[in-house]
Amino acid sequence: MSPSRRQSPIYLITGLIIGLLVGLFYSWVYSPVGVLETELYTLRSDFKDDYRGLIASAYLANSDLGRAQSRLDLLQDEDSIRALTVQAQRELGQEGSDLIARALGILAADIGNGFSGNPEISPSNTPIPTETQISSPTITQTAGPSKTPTLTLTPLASRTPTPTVGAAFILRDYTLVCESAYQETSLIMVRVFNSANQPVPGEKIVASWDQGQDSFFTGLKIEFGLGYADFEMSPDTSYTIRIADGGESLPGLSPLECENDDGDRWLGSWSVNFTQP
Amino acid sequence: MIIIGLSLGLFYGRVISPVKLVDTNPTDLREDYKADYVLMVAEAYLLEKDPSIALCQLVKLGNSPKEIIEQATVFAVENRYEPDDLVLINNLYESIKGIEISGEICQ
Repeated sequence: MSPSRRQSPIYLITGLIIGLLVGLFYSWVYSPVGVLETELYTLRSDFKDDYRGLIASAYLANSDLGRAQSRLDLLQDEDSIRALTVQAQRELGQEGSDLIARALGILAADIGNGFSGNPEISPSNTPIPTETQISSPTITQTAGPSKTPTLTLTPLASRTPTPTVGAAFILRDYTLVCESAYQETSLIMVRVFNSANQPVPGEKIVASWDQGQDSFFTGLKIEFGLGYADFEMSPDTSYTIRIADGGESLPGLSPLECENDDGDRWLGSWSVNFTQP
Repeated sequence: MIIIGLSLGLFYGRVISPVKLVDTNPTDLREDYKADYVLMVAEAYLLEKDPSIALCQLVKLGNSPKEIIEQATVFAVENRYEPDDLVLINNLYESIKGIEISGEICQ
């Protein structure tokens, strides 16, 4: 066999490799498919947060739950409700917009309950963008926390009330909770009800103490009920709790010690219920 | 063989393993997403009534909010958005068209 005949396959393979590399360079670097027509789920996480906040704000304005859900589906969050509630808490923690935090909380609560708080507004027929590879919308409840409340768990309402504009809230009752399930943290657990005794999501609660104040919203922990919110107390601090929209306040809440029959001691939690008359 | 290699490379790079984009910017979104984004801004504007907030949301799609709304309007009309939604987008346009964007507006 002559040397030139032995080299020819190498040239063929070299040509194949060069062609392959040129093809890959063109496809991946020079002209990748769809760069200028990206999908929502590819957005950077902070842009996704902006988008989610906008979905919730739009929902507050139009009460079209189907439209809001369709939009959320396009973001392809593993769990839309959790994504909404986590972002709402982040908005509050980072001194973000109260309106957006409230909107996110209300949207999460309404999706969890499966209907809009304002059913009189009929859904729009405007086409919402679709991503063909998305399967049909599936709403999944968030997994419950490891700590399960054993007391006064509010049953889910058959209808989600929107934050009620009406009479100021009054204090219905408050009790010290000494259940062992609450041993790890000492909480103020607030539940807010409207005049029809339905839980109210999206209601801003203010906790104030000597050195400052903080706020939190009902409905962000829907596993405990739509009208539920809680706040972790620090030892040796006295708190005043009130609904931000006005009404009665409850001063003098501080962690009190509980003791069981075996002599074990821990700091208890407060359960506080507000209602509209 | 170069042609065969090129074909294989293109097939692999475009069909079998196309570029998967991550951490993209809203400016690169598909046209229908952009139009729906503008509609959401218009819906939220109903509640907030604050043109500066709407402008800050719109500039995420590009430097000229007016052009962005105009493009969204064309898309919305062509794709038969509801008349009420077209009115919302138009209201937003009327509210922001006279406002110049300054560098500090979205700080």
